[in-house]
Amino acid sequence: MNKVGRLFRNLANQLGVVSLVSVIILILMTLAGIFAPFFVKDPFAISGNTYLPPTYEHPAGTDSLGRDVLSRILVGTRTALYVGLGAATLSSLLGTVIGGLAGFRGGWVDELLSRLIEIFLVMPIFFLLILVVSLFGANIMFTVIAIGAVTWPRNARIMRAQALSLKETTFCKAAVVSGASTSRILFFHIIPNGIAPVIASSALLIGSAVLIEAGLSFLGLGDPNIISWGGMIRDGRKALTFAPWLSLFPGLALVVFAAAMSFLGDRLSHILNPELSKKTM
Amino acid sequence: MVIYVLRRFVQMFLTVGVIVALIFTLIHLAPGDLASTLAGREAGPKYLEQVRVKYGLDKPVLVQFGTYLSKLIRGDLGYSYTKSQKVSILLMSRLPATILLMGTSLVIAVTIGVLGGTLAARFYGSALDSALSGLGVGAASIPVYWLGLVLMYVFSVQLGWLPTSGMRSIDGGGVLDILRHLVLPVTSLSFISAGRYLKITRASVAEKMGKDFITTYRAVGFDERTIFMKHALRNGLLPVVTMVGLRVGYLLAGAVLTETVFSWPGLGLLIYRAILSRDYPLILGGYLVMAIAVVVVVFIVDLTYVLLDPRVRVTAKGG
Repeated sequence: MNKVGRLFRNLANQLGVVSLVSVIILILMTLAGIFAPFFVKDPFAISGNTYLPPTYEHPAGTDSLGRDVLSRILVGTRTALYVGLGAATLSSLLGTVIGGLAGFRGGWVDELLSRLIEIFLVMPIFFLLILVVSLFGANIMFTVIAIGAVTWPRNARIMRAQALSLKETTFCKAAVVSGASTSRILFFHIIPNGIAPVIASSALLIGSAVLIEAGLSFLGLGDPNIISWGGMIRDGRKALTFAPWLSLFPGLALVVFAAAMSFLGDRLSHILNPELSKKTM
Repeated sequence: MVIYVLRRFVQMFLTVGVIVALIFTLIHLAPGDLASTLAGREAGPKYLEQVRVKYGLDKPVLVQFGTYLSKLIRGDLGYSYTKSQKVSILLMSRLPATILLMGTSLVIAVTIGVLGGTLAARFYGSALDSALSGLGVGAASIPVYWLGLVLMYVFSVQLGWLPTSGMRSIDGGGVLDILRHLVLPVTSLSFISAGRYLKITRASVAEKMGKDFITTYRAVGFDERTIFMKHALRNGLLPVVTMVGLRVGYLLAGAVLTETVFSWPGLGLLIYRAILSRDYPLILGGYLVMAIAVVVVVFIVDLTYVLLDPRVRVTAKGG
C-alpha cells in the first residue's frame, strides 16, 4: 500500500504544469459526463427554436431540431468516456495477457504473435474498422469491441518486450525453479512488474479510441441511438454556411479531450518508461 | 543482406495474404443476405436466384474465395455492383487524385514536422521546445475533418477566397484551378500529420543527444552545434524514415476523411460510397489496393533504411 502511495506522490511531482492542467480538464469533463443528466436540459428535447446562435439561454446555440447543443456536448462526454475507457481496457487486457504469455513462453506461441503484431502494425486500422462497422452494424458496444480488437497488438508488443527481459531476472527464475505454474508466474510476477508502460500506452489509446469513434460517426457509421461528438460534427456540416457553431463546439470538446489525454499519456510514458516510450511512440 | 531482403519480401506477401483472407471472411460473416442487398428489397425469389448465379454466390464460400484469389492473381478485381464497371478501372481512375493529395501533404508535413522536431530537440527542455512539442501534440489531436470544416468556413464561406469542394471548377480551368482546390484539403491534412512527425522527430533526435557517444564528443571538446548537426541529427533522423513509412496508413485514413469533407474525387471518397451501398467487390478491391500500397511502402522504406544505416545489415532485425 505504501508503495502505491509513493507512486502517486511521485506522479504528482513529475507531472508538470501541462499534464496537471490536462488531468484537471479530464476530471472536470468526467464529472460533467457522469452528472450531466442531473443538470443539463434534455438533449433530445425538440423545440421550435431551430438554429439559434449562441446566447445566454443556449451557450452553444441550438441545432436543426431546436435541441440545446451544449447539453448534447455534455452528454456526448459520456460516449467519449465509454468508448475511450472501454476500448483501452479491452485492448490492454488482451495485449497484456497475450503479449506476456508469448514473451514468457517463447517458442511457436511467440513466433505466431510476432508475425501477427507485424501484420497489424502495417495494416490500415481505420479502414478495417470502417469495414467491420459498416458490415456488422453501427452499435456502440460493437464499435468499442472492434477498436479494442484491432489495437491490442500494440500493447502486446510492449508487454512481450517486458516479459522477455523479466523472465531473465532472478526472482522469475526462482519462481520457475520452485515449481510455480506458468499462469502463476505470468499473473503474479511478470504482469505486475511489467505493466507500467502498458498503462501509459493505454492512456494514449483512450484519446485515439475517442478520435477513431468520432471519425466513424462523422462518416455516418456511428450508433444512431447515441450522442457522439463526431456525429454532431457530421450533423452540423450541412448547416456550415449559416450555423457554424453546430460543428465548431462539438469539435472543440473533442480536441480538448483528445489533447488532454495525449499530453497526459505522453507524460506518463515518459515517467513510467523513458526508454520504451521513445521506441513505441 | 540478400537473405534479409528475401525474408522481408516473403513477409510482405504473407501480410497481404492475411489481409485479403481477413476481409473476405469478414464480408461473409456479416449478417444479411448478399443477394438481396444486390437485387434490391422488392426482388422476387426468382430474380434473387438469378442474382446469386450471376455473382457466383450460390457456390460454397471456399470456392468463392478460390475463384476470387485466382482472378486476383490475374489482376481481375471483378465488377462493381453499383457502378457496373470494372473495379480495377474505377480504382485506377481515382488513384491520381489521392496521390496528389497525399503526396503534397506528405512532403509539406514531413518538412515542417522534421524541421520543428529538430528545433525542439536542439533546444530540448527550453521554452521553445515546450511550445513546439505542445503544438505538435495539440495538432495531432485535432480531427482532420473538423479542421477541414473550420478552414472551409473561414476561407470559403466567410472570405470567399478558395473553393469549398471538388478538384476542378465546372467551367474547367487548368493547373492553377486544381491548385486552388488543393489548398484547403492539403492544409488540413498536413497540419495534423506535421504534428505527428514533429513528435517522432523530437523524440528520436533527443534520444540520440543522451547517448554515450555524444557525451564523449562533448568531453573531447567539440562545440555543441557541430555535435548536434553532424552526429545527433544524422543518427536521430534515421528512425524517422521508418516511422514515417509505418504511419502511411494513418495518412491514408486522414486522406479518406479529408476527401469526404472536401468531396475530393479520390480513392477514399470512392471506397466510402462503396461501403455505404455495400458494393463488396469495390470495397474488397479498394481495401486491397490500399493495404498493398501501405505494405509495399513499408517494405521500400525498410530497404531504404538498410541502405542508409549499415548497422542494420549486420544485426538481424528482430520483431
